[in-house]
Amino acid sequence: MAAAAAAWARLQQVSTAQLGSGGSGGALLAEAVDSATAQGLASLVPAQLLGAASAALQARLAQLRGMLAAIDEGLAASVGDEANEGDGGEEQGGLRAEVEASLVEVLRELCAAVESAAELLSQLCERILRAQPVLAPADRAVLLSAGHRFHRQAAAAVAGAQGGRDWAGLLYRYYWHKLRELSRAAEAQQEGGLDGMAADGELGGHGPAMPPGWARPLQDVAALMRRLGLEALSEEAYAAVVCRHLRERLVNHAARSFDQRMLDPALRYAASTPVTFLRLVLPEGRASEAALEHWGQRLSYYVYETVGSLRIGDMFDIVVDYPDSLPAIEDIRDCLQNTNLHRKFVAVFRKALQDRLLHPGAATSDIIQQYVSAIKALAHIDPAGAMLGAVGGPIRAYLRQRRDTIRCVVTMLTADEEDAAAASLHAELGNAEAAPQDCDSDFEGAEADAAALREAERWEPDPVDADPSRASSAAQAGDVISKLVGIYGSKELFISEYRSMLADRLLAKCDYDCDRELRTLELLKVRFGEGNLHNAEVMLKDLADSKRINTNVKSVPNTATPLRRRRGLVDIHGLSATILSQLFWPQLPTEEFNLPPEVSAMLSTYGAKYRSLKAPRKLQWKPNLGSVQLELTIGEQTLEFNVSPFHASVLMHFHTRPEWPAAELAERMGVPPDMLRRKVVFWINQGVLSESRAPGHALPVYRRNEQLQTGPAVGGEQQEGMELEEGGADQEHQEMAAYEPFVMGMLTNFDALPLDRVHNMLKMFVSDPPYDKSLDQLGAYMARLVAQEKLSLEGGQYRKRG
Amino acid sequence: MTFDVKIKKWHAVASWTWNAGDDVCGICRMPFDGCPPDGKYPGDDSPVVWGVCTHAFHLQCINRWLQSQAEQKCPFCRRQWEFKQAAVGGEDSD
Ligand SMILES: [Zn+2]
Ligand SMILES: [Zn+2]
Repeated sequence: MAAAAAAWARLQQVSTAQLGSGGSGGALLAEAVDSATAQGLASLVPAQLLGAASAALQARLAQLRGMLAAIDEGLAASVGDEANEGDGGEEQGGLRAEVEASLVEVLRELCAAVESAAELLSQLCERILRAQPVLAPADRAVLLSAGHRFHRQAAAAVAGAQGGRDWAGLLYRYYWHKLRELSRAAEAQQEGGLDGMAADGELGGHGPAMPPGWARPLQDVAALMRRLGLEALSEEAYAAVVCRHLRERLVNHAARSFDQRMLDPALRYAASTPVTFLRLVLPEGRASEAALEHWGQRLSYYVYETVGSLRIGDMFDIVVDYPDSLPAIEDIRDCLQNTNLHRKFVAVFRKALQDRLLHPGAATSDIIQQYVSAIKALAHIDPAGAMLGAVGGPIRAYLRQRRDTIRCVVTMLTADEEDAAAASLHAELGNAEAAPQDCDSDFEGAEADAAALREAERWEPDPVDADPSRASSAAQAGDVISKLVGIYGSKELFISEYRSMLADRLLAKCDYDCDRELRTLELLKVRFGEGNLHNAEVMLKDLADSKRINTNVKSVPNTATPLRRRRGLVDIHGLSATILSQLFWPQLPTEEFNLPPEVSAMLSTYGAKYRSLKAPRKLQWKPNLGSVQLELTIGEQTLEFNVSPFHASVLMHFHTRPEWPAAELAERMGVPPDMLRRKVVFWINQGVLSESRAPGHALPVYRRNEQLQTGPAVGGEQQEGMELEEGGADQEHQEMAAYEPFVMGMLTNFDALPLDRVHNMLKMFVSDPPYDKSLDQLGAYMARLVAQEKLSLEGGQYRKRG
Repeated sequence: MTFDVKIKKWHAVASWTWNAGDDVCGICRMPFDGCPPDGKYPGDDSPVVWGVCTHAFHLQCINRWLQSQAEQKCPFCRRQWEFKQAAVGGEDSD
């Protein structure tokens, strides 16, 4: 027993001394191991040796701790702050050669210590095995794996002991430096017009020309980390560096212009500098190619995700720019096909729409326009239309709440070519290839929208071989209109609104020219079926018939046979008429009043001639409809007006008589005095007539002015849809008057506000009519309200007057 | 001193009517001023005619009726149907 104890004590002493000194002088140790083995202690030896080697390594690490801290400091000093990376980093100094050299040196030393100790351990254990052929299997296993176990313990020891600093941080900073140097060299080379590769250069044909010896330390650090068994730590660091580099490059370099593809250059870039870098840090040899390929896929995926996220964040503006933004849309399409971002896409885009579009400050026509662009843009991204359902749902729900939606859609569909937005919608109408009689299926409610969202959650990209552009244009062309019409859930509503707008437009025409309306009608017929648009068809035919009849009526001479005996026939060359098939038109406003006798005579002459051509049919006049072009000479001025028949009739009465008591003129025209006044106000505002009130008289006297008056107008009354050839400023003020209640309301709620606040609040909250005035226009109008003593202005603050 | 209103152009709006008293055609029950079931446009394309018995129908309607009957009688009063000459316009004022 004493001999055994002595041998064990000897082994303890020698192993600590020998392994601590770096593993030299193995002879003494071998001897001690032999004697311990001879005493039957073989199974205890490996644990003793392992413990001694670990203790020795810990001691070595403690010595190196100071150096590692200095290296990390040296790296950190030049890396700079993450936050101001973009520009701040540029100013920082580069990687100092001595810092890099000492990093390699420390790693090399650690590696040597670990490897030599492991080697010694393995040799000693083999020696025991040779000396003791008969051993329990468990003991054999311990002896065989001692070297390996030490490696593992050493890796853990090295990883866990860096004097409070993180290896990950140190490596990250080092790799970041090297990648930055590489990427700058690549950029410089590209700017210099040299082509990518320097075949015989430092990097052996992969990547830009680097200074001789540049790559070696980088390869060494990566290789040494591998040898230390810390490959995972190292890989984590360079992976993070490469991703950060890619991301920064995409964020900074993608100028985010929507009219250029971002994805393809990004993918190309990911395959250049980052791969060159990875080639250096990955192990060499055959495994390297496979690893590089794997990394290539990983980087591509990262690019798809990053570009996808960036583009998705801009989706609202991309839609605004459609179709110029098609390249950005194609980016999104490709990114969604290669990633899992569709749910994020739906969420982000919905939120952007909610925040930027679906609020009281947005004009209905803008919302519709954006909706139309979204439909078209999404058709490129997702031809199956699942995402449109999810994204469009809130827009449709919102539009359903706006009263003027149908009217806006119809206006846009039927508007003049000058309006670009409307023109695109009109063109869309012509795109209808599919005969969508079944567009009822598009009449969705809130429930359908919710279903669409669920559907989008399950979204899967189309197979790549399906040609998305083709599928989309065909499916979507029909869609845009149905989706718009479907907002309200009924095509009957839409058609009836269309009819009433068509009536307005046709009745405003004096030239019978309705080519555009005819084209629109033809397109609507394709879409909704002829039967549903029969009324509109008759209305348009009425216009064409009216034109012909008008010519025929006027060519009937007053001396024609059936008319000869009639008296009171007058010249009708200044008269034209639109003749309606009343049952096919919507209810039209009626306003009975007496026309001036000379006008009555013209109408009845016209009627008689019509009857001579069309008997037994006859005409029934609608005196309040139509329009009158008149020339007023007042003083030295001659003005042209285009006004309603009522307004014209009022004025004609002043042609022969300078003044009329209100009651008398009202009686002459067959209307109540207050209705008369509403019309007279227009002429007063034009400075053509004036009113005065004698004391004790309830009703005023209207008088024609000898000169055109430009003084303050009578407030309150708006002109009734008249087009003025004169008086633009007045008209502007009258337009602004629509906002007066809002301004007054705000100043009631807020006591005092500066001009720009009023302006912004109007923009935000007023949509009916949409507020589209400039700050200057508002200022001019507010000044007028101040002049009228409705408001006060003090120190830039407007207040309501008590 | 001058105050002169000159009408350069007066564009008026009117509707036409067959002036056929009863609102609907007794055969097709559609308004006279509309069109019969197989007519596409009202007015010229869907004329209204009177019999000497003073009953009025769409031309298409009475023709179809007469063709379907052995005897040419007014579907209303069963009197012999005879087209009344259209009234010459301009005589009666509106
Ligand atoms: Zn009939
Ligand atoms: Zn009869």
